[in-house]
Amino acid sequence: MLSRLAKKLRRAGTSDWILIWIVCLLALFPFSLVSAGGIICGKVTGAPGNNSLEGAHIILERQGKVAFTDKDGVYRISGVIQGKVTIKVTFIGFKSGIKTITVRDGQTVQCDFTLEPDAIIAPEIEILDTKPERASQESPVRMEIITSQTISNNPGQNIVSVLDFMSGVNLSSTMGVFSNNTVVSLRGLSGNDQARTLVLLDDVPLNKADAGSVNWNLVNRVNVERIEVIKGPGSAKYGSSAMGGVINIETKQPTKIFSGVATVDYGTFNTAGLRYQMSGKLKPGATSRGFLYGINGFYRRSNGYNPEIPEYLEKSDTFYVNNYLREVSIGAKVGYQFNALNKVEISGNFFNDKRGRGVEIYEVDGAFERHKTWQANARYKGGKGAVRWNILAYNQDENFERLNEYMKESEYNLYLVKSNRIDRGANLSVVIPAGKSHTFTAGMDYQYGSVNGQDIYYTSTDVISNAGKMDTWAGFLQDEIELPGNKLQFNLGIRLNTAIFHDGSFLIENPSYSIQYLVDYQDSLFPRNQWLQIDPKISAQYRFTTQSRIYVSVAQGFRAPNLDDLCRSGKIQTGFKIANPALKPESLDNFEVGADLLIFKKLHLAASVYYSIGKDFMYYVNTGDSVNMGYKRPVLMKQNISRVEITGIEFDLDIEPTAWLSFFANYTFNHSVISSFHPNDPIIGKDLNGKFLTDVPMHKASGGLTIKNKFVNINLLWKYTGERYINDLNETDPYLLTAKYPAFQTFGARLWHTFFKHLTAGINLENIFDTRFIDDRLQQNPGRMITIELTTIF
Amino acid sequence: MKNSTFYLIICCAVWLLAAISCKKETNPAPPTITLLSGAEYTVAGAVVAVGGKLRFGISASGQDANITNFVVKKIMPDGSTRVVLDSGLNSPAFTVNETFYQSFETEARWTFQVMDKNRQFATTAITVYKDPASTWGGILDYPLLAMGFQNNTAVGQFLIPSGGKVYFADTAAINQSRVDIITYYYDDAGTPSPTFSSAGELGGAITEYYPSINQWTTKNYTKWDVSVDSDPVPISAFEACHNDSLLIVSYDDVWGKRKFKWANAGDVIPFMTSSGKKGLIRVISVENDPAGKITFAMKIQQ
Repeated sequence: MLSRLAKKLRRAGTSDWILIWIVCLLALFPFSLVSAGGIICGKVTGAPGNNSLEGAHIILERQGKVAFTDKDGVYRISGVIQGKVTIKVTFIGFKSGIKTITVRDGQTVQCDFTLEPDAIIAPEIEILDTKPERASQESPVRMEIITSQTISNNPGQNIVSVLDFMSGVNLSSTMGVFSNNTVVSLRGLSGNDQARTLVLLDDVPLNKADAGSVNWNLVNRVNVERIEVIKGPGSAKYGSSAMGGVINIETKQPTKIFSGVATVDYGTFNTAGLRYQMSGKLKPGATSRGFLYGINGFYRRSNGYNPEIPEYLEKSDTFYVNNYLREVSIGAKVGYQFNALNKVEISGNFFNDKRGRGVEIYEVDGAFERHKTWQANARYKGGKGAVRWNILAYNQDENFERLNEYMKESEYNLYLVKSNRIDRGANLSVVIPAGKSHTFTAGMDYQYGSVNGQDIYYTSTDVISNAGKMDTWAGFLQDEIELPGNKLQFNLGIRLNTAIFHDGSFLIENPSYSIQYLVDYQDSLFPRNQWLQIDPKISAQYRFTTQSRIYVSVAQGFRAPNLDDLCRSGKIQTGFKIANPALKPESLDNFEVGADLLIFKKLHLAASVYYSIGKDFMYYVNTGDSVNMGYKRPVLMKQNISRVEITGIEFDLDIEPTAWLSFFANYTFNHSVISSFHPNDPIIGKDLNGKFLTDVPMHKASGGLTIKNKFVNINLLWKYTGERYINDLNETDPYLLTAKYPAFQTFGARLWHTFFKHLTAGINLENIFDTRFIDDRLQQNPGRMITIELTTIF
Repeated sequence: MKNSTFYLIICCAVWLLAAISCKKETNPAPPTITLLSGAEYTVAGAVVAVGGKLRFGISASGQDANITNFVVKKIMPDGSTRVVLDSGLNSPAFTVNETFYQSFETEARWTFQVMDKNRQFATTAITVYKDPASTWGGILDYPLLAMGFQNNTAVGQFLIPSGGKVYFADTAAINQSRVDIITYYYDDAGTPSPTFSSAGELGGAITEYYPSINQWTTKNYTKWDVSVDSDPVPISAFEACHNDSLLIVSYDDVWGKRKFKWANAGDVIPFMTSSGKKGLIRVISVENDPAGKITFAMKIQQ
C-alpha cells in the first residue's frame, strides 16, 4: 500500500501534493470531532501551602494522553478510554504524584493532586544512561534523544562522537577534535555535505548560508542538556537543509539557585582542556518567577599529530608538521521567568580557535584555520491557557581565516582566505489546540545569510573577492490530529519557502600572470535569483501502548543552494569551479514506515524503513572549458542535474535488565545511488548513472554496554563503519589503489568513579586498538587517544 | 564633593583603560629595492642585440614585514606589460642575480617590484633598447628524435640538444654538463604522464627514476613553458620555422616550470636550457609505459 502511495506521489507534481494534503485533512477532520470516552479533570497543588501549580505535566499512562495545568492549577483531559487509568503528575521541585482511577464513557471524574516538595534530588551521576534515550513517540516521525548523561559517559572529546553511535547517522571526521570540517549527515545522504542536514543550537541554525557547513567545535559539551535527532524531513517546522533530518542541541536551563559542572582533562598529544557551565535562578524551581542566569565556556589546546601518511610523502615533503589546536569559548545568558509558561532570555557566545593544518614552511604557526564567532540570541517563550508560543531572534557573525602555506612544483605559495559570514534570523511559532483532537502549530521564519570573502595572496599581487546575500522567508502550518481513543494520530503539515539570492559579486584586484584565467569570470553583480518551494508532509501513527507503535510518513524536504556555489569561483580539488547564480534548490521525497515495541518494560525495539528520491541534486559538471593553473585544469560548475534514490533500514535495540546494567545495539543499511544524471554535454560529462554516493557506508553498526557498580563504572562502545566509495565515479583511487575506503571498527571505553557525590574521576579511551583509517586527502586519523578527566558537579 | 571625586576617579580609570587598550594605527613602512651596479650587470640605456644576455642584480629588504613576492616585468612603449618573473618567497631580505634575454621589442622598461606581507610595494626600473642591427639567429633542426622512459633498455633517456645525441644513464654521466633534457614516465593521479625534465629538476623527484643523477656535479636545469595548454604553438608554425624568431616568441619564462608532464602527440612545447638556448619540441608519438618511448621533432637555437 505504501509503495502504491509512493508511486502515486512520485507521479504527482507539487500542486497534487497540496491537493492530497487538503483531501486528507478534510477526510480526517469529521472523525476527529467525534466525542467518545470519559473526561478526567482536577487541580494540582503543592504542599505545604496548597498553592496552585501552573504548568504541571499530567500523563495518562498507556493512553499517551498528556496535559498541563493552567494558572489555577486546573487540568482537563477528554476522550479517555473507559476502564482503569493511571494518572501521573510531575512538576520540578516536587515529588511525582500517581493515582489510579476508573473512568466510564461519558463520565467526568475529578482527580486532584497535592504534591510533596522534593527535598532530595539524586545526583546526576547515578543515572544509568549510555545511549540515546528511547525514541520519542509523541509524533509519527523517528526521533531520538540523547541526554546530558549519555554525553558525559561517552569517551569522545567532542559532541559529534556521541552522535556517531546512533543509527542513521553518518559521521565524517577523520581527524576527530583536530578537524575543522566535520560533517554529520543523516539518512544516507552524501557524507561530505553538511548542508543536507539541519543543525540547531537551541533552535538557532548553525548551518551557514555560505556553504551549509557547521562549526561543531563551538558546542560546549558540558553545556548540552540534550540532543534531539529527528530523522528524515518529516517535520514542517524545519526548512532548508532539513532533507536528511534535524539535529537540535539544547543547552542547560537553570532550575536551581546555583548549579553547574566543571571538567578538566589531559591526554594524548599533550591535549589539555577545561570546560565549565554554571547557572542559577534567584528563586529555585523550573517555574518560579525571577531572574535567571548562566555562564559557560571552555579552553583546549593540543600539540596535535601529523596526519600525513609517510608512504605517500616524497623526499621533499619535509614541511609536514603536527596539526596543533587552540580553542576558547565563553558564553552567558540572562533571563526573567514570569511564570511556568512565560520566559524571556538573551544570550551571547564567543568562540575563537586556531587549528594547524599540518604544514609549516616559513610562517611561525604554519598553515592554519581560525574562526572567531560571535553569537547573540533573544527569545521569548510564552503561553496562556493551552496556547504556546515561541519568538526567537538570532545573529551569528563568523570571521574565518585560513592561511595557506605550501610548496607546489617547488614554488612557494602563501595566501590568506578571509571570510565574514553573517547568519541572522527570526522566527515565531504558535501552538493552538483546537476542538477535542486538533493541535495546530503555525509559524513564520526569516533568515538572512551573507558572505564577504577575500583571497589575499602574499606570494603574488592578487586579491580575489566574492560576496553574496540570501534572504529566506518561510511559513508553515501543521495539524496534529488525535483520533478518539488516542491510539491513532495524524500529522499533516505544509511549509512554504521562498529564497532570494542577491548582491552577488566576484572580483579580482591586481591579477598576476597565474590568475589571469580568473579575469574572465569576474562579475560585479550577479543576476538576482529567486525560488519558491512548497513542502508537504503527511504522517500517521497507531499506538498500541505509550511505548509501542507503528507509523507511516510521506514528506518532502529541500535545500537551497549555498552562497559559495552561487557567487564564488576558485580552485577545488578536481579543477576550477565557477559560480552558478542560476542554481535551483534540490529536494527530497521521503517515504517511511517504522515501528516501536517495548517488551516487559526492559527491552525496546525500533525499526524504520525508508525510501527517498532526491531531485535536482547539485553536482559538479564539466563545462568543456579549461583554464591554465600551471597545467590545464577542467572548468566545473554546480548544476541541478541528478536524481538520487536512497533505500535504508534502521534497527535499534536496547535492554535494561537491571538497574546496574544496560545494553544497546543498532544497525543501519543505506543504498544511496545516483539514478539519473544528465550533464549538458554527454561527451564531456562522465556517466554517473547507477553510481553510489560518496562517503556513505552501506552498513553501519554500533553497540554499547554500561555496568554500574560501587567501584568503577564502565561504559564500553563499539562501532563498525562499512566500506564507502571514495569518488563520484566509484573508480579506483590512484593513490589509495581502491575504489572504496576499507571498512573499519573502533572500540572505546570510559571508566569512572564518583567520590563524595560531587567529584568524578574518569579515564576516556578512544579507539582502544589504534585502528587507522584515512580520507580522500590521504590524511589519517589520530589513532588511540587516552584522556584522564576530573569532573565536579555542584 | 565626595561623589564628584568618585566620578572623577571612575572617568580617569575608564580613560586610562581606553588609552592603554587602544593601539595606535600606524602605516607600515614599505620595503626597499635597489639594482646592483657593476661590470657584470646590464645598465640603464643599454643597447642589446636580440637574444643577447641581460643580467640584473637586485637587492631588496623588508621594513615592517617579510618580502613575499618578487616580480620582474617589461613595460613596452605602448604601455603593455609582459611579466617575465613572478616568484613567491618569505624572507626579510634578499639579493639575487637574474638573467634574461633580449627579445624583439625596440625598447622596454624593465621593472623590478617587491611586495611584503603587509602588501606594501617597492619598485625600481631601467630602460633597455634593442640593437637595431639585430638579425634572427640560426637553429638546429632535428626532425625525428626518440627518447626512452626509465625502464626502456633499448632507447636512452638523456639528450644533449647541441648534438642531438641520446644516451643511457651511465654514458650520460660522462657528458653531464651537456645533458639538458631527460625523459621519464609516471602515473599522475590516474593520468598517464610522459614527462620532459632535466637533471636540475627542483625538488629532486627525477632521482627516483635515475638515482645516479645524485652523483652528478653538474645538473643543468631546463625550464619548460607549461602555458601552451591554454596558448598552444600551431604545428604549422613549428614546421615553417627556419630561424629562432618563433623559438624566442613562444617561450614565456614566467611559465617556465621544472618539468612538462602529460606530453601527448601533437603538443608543441617551448623550453629554455640553462645556457639560455630556447627551443621547441613537437611530440610525434608516445608509448604510455615506463618501458616505452617518446618520439619528437626538435628545433633549438644554435
